[in-house]
Amino acid sequence: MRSTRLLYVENDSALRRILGEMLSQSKDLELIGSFANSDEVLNRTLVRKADVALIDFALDQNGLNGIELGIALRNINEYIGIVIYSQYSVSQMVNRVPKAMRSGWSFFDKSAEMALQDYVDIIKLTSSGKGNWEQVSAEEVESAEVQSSIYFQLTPRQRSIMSLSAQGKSAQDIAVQLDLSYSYVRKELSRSYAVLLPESSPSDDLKTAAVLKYMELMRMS
Amino acid sequence: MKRFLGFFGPYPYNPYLIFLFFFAFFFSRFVNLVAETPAGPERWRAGGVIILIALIPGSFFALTAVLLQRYRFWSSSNLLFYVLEVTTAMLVLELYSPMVNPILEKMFDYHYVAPISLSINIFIATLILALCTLALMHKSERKIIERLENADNLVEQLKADREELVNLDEAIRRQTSTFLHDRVQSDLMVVGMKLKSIQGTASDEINKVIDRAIARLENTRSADLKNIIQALSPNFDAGGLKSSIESLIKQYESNMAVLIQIDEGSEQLDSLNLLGTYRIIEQGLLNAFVHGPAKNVFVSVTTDSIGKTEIVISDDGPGTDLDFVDSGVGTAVIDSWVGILNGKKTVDTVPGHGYRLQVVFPQ
Repeated sequence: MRSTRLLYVENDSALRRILGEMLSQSKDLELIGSFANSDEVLNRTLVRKADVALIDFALDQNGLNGIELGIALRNINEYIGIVIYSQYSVSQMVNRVPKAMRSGWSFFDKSAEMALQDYVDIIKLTSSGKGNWEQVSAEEVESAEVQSSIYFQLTPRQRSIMSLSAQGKSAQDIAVQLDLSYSYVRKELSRSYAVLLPESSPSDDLKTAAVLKYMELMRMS
Repeated sequence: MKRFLGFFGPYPYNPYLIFLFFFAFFFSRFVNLVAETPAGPERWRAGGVIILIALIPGSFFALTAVLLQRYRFWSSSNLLFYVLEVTTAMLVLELYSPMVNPILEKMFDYHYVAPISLSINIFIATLILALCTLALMHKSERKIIERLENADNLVEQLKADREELVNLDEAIRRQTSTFLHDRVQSDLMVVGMKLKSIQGTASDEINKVIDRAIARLENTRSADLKNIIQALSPNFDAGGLKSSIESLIKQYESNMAVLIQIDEGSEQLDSLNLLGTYRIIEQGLLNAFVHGPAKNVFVSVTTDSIGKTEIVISDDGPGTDLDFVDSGVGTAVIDSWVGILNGKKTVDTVPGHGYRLQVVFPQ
């Protein structure tokens, strides 16, 4: 089996030399080029020859970043594996890669504690199309949170009106107690109902349902 | 000389004063008619007609003043133009008086005799008198308007200064953060790797020392420095707005539950808008923590299809009375960013029912 042909892009010259030397010691890898920035590496023949590219995320500030460079390399060679490493947190970086292009992408945090074999493993896996992007990317948490966010969509004014309404006070009483006009309280009540019960129909008993919903939310928070 | 001419004008017209002046002038000119008319309905009629006669020039000139103020296409600060305006008004006035006299003659057989007849000298004298009257009527008005303009300029200046300070602050933050990332963090990494590379050639004991040294360097580099770099100047390229905010809320984790919702459109904002959004949320969370602390905070950023962005930071903390909303550093930073983003800030809070900050800004 032939060795994996690797492109290496890192703008820090000291690190590029050390890690470059280290990677070229591996029998499994063939380092076919190491570069300081995206302009140097965008050479069609070389990119077509490569199996995988190891790219620092933070490259030249005025040029492409690592992910943009990875996408550019993919557009030249659709089989090339892309490994992004960075001192920035990589957990959300995959979101920057178009969904259709994500297979064969890997991400890891820069670390001086990694041994040569750790680099070789991740580079070889990625070159064979098995990127780690699914494990790295942070899980999306939803639904239960959306529920409790309803409370926060009410303004503090609406919350104070709803809590008085939950005590059985009429719009008239609320207006007197909070020193607001009756029509304003009515308006705020119906706005609150719309937030609390987004899918209600006009025929429902809005007031009771909204008060129940509000009390339920208060228990949650 | 300049001060002397400055007394004559130009003045900003006050329609109410002008109305009152002409009304009083014409009413007093013909009020004798009322006294001369026998008591009864006839006298009431004479009074009504005179009020009408006085109302017409009063309303006309007040309206002209309003229209001039709003639609004048020549300079309002030029004395010559101002004098021409007043002269034109006087000429119009000279046309009005001859129209009134025949009416009064016909209706009440009242002959109004002007004390002096019209000539060019009289006209010029009257013009100077009119200019002086206008000057006396509007002097304080002009002063107030000048002061208000000065105050407005100062407020604008203050706002611009504050925004400039924020921009400078950001520039320094960015420089420091770039230095820490590109030099300090990178060098620590390189030193760590060099240590690692000599490990193979050393004894077990030295290897242990090297391992501990690397672990220590790595801890400084990937934890402490990383957090400082992020706090100084967040990198939105790396993980977008959402992950920057997520690392921001980590420091509050043990005190407040922060729920964030950031839509796709907001991730596409340009870097200045992203930074402003981040800074506003940063200060908003700090406020929720310091003035609360709130138990829960909800942060949402939404951008609609025309590029209007809305930031909402809402908490369930103790809230405060809107009349006593403080003006601390956090608020100043938020206001400066709202200015930089050309946005609008709304605060809603009721004691016992939390605090809600909303900022809306265009693309």
